[in-house]
Amino acid sequence: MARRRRYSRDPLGLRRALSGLLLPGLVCAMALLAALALAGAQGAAALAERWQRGAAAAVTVQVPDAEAGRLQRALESLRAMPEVAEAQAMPEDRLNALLRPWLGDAPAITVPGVIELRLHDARTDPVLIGDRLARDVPGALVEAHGLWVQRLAALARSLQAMALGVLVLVAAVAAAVVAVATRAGLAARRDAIEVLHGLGARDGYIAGRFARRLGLLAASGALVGTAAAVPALALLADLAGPWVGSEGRLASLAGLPWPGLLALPPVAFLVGWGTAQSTVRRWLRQLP
Amino acid sequence: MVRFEAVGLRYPGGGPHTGSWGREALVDVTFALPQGSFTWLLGHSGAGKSSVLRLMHLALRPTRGEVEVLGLRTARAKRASLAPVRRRIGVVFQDFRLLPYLSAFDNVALPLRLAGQPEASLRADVQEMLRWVGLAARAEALPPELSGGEQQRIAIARAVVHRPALLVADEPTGNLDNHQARRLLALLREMNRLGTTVVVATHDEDLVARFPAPSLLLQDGRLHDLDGARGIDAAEAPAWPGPQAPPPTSEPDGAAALDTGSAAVSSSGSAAGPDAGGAGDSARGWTEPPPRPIGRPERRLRDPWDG
Ligand SMILES: Nc1ncnc2c1ncn2[C@@H]1O[C@H](COP(=O)(O)OP(=O)(O)OP(=O)(O)O)[C@@H](O)[C@H]1O
Ligand SMILES: [Mg+2]
Repeated sequence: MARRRRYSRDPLGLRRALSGLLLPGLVCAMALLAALALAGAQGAAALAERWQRGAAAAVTVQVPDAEAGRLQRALESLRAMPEVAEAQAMPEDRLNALLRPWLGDAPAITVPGVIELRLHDARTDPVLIGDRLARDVPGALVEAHGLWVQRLAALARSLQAMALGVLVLVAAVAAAVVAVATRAGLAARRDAIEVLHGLGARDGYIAGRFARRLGLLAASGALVGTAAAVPALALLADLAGPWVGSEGRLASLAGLPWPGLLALPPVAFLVGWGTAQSTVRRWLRQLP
Repeated sequence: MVRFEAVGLRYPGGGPHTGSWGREALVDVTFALPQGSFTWLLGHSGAGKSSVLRLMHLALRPTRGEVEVLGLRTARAKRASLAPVRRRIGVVFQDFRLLPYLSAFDNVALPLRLAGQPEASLRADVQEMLRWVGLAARAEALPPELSGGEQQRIAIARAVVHRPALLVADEPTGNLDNHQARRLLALLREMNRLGTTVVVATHDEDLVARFPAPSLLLQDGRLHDLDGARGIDAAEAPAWPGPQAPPPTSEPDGAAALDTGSAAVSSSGSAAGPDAGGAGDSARGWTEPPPRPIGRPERRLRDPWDG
């Protein structure tokens, strides 16, 4: 009875022909890499987003000799500019607190007034704002740290693209590994396949048996690999918390790219299934 | 049923990828076998018997000419259309070709499962067939645990369990002793009696003498004329080459009833057998085989293994 039950699921004896831990092990390692790439992609995206939204539009303006009139004039002229979303004078106590480490409590030194700007569009050239402002308030200086923020954001974006590239590469390598395993299985079961073919089994039947077996092997490997990746990713997310603004273990665990991680085993199944299907069907075409 | 028309067959020579082809293993082979006939395929080693059989059970396609099996012209048929026809053909190989990791039961059940027969009804059929070949007790044994003769009988059971319209056997007695060989032949005749067209390749002359039937003789890849009758290819024969018309082996003990005289017919288009029914069939081109007997094996098969 046991033998009979064994048949109906496995007429080609693939459980023995395609066994061992090599394929699931390789897929497991690749799922780990894919999980890392997923987390990397998400992290880079979050950083780029945050930098661009938060700091990127911030431009500061220094107004020397900031007696009340000049600062006020500068504010008015800035607020009148269409590209400026918001202009705010930095409160004196905050400014002092910022400068204290360098200047100490030295009331004798006159500090410039500082205005923080938010621009509608980060790509606006701050030099033009500075030129126009200088006409109204001579000596005002525009400081554009938006530039390096933009470069950082670009870096984050290319990291994200790279991580996606790694995902594609991992999928391709997984497909290649499955193809090699499928060929090994075909070689091991060549006689059995020829017998079934001779008995009138359709290509789809034989390919389906291989595809199901290899899909399951790949999915099981991916499941283990993904499960192994989660604690490592949670630790990384925890360490990266201060930069991306999440606080606490639970928050960083929730911040993992769960949809992507949960999709890894099914995607591995599909890669294994599809690769086996096409490999076996191509191989079967040599039979009459 | 089975019709060969100026068939030529070349095997690829010097490896499959060199693109070179060997000499023709079959040259201008033309014959036709009527529905329900029993035919010997004779010839020396290398004459091309296995090649003819491979063409018959669609393991090969002709290099030129046309092979028609069960209504399918195989030379240019679509690849996907071959599988359903294969399922109506039973094949016994000299080397059995059982699946070593499947039990005797599962091996015999393969054709039924491929045909999609439900497990419940399949079990009775397979057990009946195993009983027929005298191996009901070994249903759960793996082929390597069986003797050569037992494996042979499993292979026969697998070939006939789905009541094929055409049964092809390539030297099925190759490694059986005389006694077993005779029992095997009795099995094949029994299948034939029930309506299956049977073709057996052999060079066991004793066996042929014991079970006289029409025969095709191959020599060097050509059909050889046994009685000096004109070969079909030479004949100004009708467009449809006439088949030999063996008397239907309806007599229960098939073998004894056949006389050697009619058995010597070979590939002769002009010589219609004494049985007009067969010739009439051929004239109609055998487009539709008569309905095969249906029913459980136990009701229709006698057990030659009982002695
Ligand atoms: N797979 C193959 N590749 C190349 N040549 C082949 C192949 N099979 C058969 N041949 C050649 O075709 C010819 C006919 O072979 P075939 O196997 O049909 O002979 P046979 O009558 O069955 O012989 P035997 O009685 O020894 O089984 C032979 O010359 C053989 O060398
Ligand atoms: Mg042979």
